[in-house]
Amino acid sequence: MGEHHQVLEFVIQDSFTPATLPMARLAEYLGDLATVLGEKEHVHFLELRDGSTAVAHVVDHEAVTRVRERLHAARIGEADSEARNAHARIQQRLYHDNARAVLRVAGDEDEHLLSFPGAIRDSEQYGPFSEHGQLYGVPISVGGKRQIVNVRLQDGDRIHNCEADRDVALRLAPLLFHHHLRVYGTGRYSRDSEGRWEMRSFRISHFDELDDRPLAETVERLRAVTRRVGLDQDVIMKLASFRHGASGT
Amino acid sequence: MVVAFDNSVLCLLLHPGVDVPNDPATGNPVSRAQDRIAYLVEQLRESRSRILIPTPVLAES
Repeated sequence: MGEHHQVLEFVIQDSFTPATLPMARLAEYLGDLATVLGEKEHVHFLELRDGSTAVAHVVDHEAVTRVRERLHAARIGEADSEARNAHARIQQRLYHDNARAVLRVAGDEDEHLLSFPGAIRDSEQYGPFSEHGQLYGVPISVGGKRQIVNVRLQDGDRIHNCEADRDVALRLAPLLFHHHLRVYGTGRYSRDSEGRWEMRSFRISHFDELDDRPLAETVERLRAVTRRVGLDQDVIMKLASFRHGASGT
Repeated sequence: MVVAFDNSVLCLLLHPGVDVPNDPATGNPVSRAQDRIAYLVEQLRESRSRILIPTPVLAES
């Protein structure tokens, strides 16, 4: 364990104390918590603390950033499937234990790295709502026998399940597998009991094909345009002074 | 990953010759600003990140 390690606490509230928490239950929480945190070689159990039940654990210095990134991904619903499943199991367990929990830096009661609403989750579901939006991805399937057909877009590891009328589908079909698209339309969104927003459906109204040119080449093309236009040498300082007054930096 | 550019970054990216802004921590111009921009572009390319340029930033640059 390095000198600059970080101590985190998983605090179970409104239920157990260390004296009443069954050891087997603690082991279940620990196992899933380790999966959510990742970096299993660099996260170490420290102690069980009094008050509400607080599982203190240490993250080695070299893994602190990676663990924080992983927790951020979990917070915004973009964790990998293994972490998502572990997170869901903790939620389910807290629900059955009539408890809730937070993960935080030890001693910092204000910032929650992750919240587990557990038993209070039923009161925090919203939607579904309709909202215009856009998605990105490569079309990987278009088809169906109804007037509105299914369209699936692959955006990295994520698959967006969309739909479109037959006119739009006919224009999407030739672009399968090879073209990056930005699609526009109306989505139906709901917020689940764990605070995550889920897109239930997305009706594509129209789309743009995206330019697949490498980023460096795109930047160079843009620079060619800006060279022709020309800008004052001190443009950044001038814009800052417009915003913040003469003292802006 | 989605990365949003502010005006300073976009200006330095599109106009490599402009004056470099001061680092608030030191009061001096940010050191090796163009190297940092080049490294950022390379990292964004490698990670296939999406770059978001807010309309006001685009207008200013």
